[in-house]
Amino acid sequence: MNKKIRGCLLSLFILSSSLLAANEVEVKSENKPESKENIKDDIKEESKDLLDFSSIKDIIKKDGLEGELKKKQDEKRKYLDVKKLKDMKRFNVPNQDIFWSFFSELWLVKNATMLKWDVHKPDFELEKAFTTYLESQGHYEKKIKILLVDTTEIAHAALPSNQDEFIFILSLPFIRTLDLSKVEISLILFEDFIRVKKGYFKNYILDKELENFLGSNFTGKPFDKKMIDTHLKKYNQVLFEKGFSFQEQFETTKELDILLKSDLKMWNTYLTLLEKIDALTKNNALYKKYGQIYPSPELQLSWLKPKGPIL
Amino acid sequence: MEKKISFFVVIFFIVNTSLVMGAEVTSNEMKKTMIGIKYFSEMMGNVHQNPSRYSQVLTTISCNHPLKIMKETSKDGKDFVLFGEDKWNLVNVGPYTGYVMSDYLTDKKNVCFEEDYSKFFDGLNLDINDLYYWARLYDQYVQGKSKVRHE
Repeated sequence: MNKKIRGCLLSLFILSSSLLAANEVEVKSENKPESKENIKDDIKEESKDLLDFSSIKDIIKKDGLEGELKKKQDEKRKYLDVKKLKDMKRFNVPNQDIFWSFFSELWLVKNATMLKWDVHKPDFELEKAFTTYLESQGHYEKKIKILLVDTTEIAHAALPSNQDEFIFILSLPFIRTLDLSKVEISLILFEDFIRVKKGYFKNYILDKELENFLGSNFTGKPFDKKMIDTHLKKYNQVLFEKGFSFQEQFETTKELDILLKSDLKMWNTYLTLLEKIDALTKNNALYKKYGQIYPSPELQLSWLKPKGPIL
Repeated sequence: MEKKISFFVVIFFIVNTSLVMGAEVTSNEMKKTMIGIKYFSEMMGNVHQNPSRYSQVLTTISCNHPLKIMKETSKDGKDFVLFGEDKWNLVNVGPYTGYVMSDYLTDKKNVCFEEDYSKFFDGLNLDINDLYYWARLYDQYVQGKSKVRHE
């Protein structure tokens, strides 16, 4: 019995020690630092891999995988280009075709309290009378916006706007003081229409700096708000201080003379209207500045009236 | 006891009258149905309580804002789409039901200045006051277009 137990213990001892020995060998091989030979082996294996890749290159080519990769790269480049372009486009400055109506409205908004246009006004249906008049003069597809203002600071004006768009300002006290009819109001607006079409107002505002800025792109640069403010102030200069020149006024009056002479009744109405305005500017202190902005009703009358004796 | 009875009678009368009046309001109210979606075409604009440019402003909207266009149907089956001298549409915008000038509504999305030139527009630093006046400007304009008329 004793012998049997001894035999069992011995075999157990041998088994456990052999297991331990095997384990030790495994741990040793794991912790063994990379010898030069091992590194060489690795490089060899890697170079084998590279060699393998070049050997399958033709197969990849045949499979069209390279083409697919190029296609994917092109798509990504295109997407990034479009995104970059889209981001850049956000920094575009409007060009002259769409700038003027926006800019004139910006001026109206910024000067809302001074111009007093946000007040309750009667509906005179001026837009109907004026569009009918434009049609009678052969001006079609013209979009008009009329803003009545409750101030004597400005009597009437047409602001620079986009092609075939016209923004008019008309003083409510001015038309009330003169007791103007719809036809007379239409004639005042038509005079402004001719003036703005000739581009006098726009030319006062548009200098080289603004011209270069419009239609440009300011990516990576700060927005030049100071320039916008400076040019908004120019509107005030034209409408409240400087006005239009004698030459511009002469050209406008002469054009109206030609256009209205086909309808003598209308031509006479224009003459009467100028006489009314002339009297107003001479007698009413509130409108003393009128002749400075639109020089001058008296001169306009002299330009219109025939020189020689009427036979 | 008599006082109590008369008090209940008065209460009953008041409740009954108010109920009857309420029923009348509902019966006079016209049925509103959505007929489509339109987009606001101008820079800024107002939704008014009534079809008038001077009516109270319910909310302010900007270019390309989608609006649910409503029609009203009267008890006798008559449909109303335009209001106030045929210049206004009844619209639903968020929680508000009000009126917008029909001239400022389009069937398709518009090219909007503030969308196309977003950084330029941002650079102007318009404050809430400016935006309010811009919306009012489109209330205050009287607009028209000269056309070739075939008589």
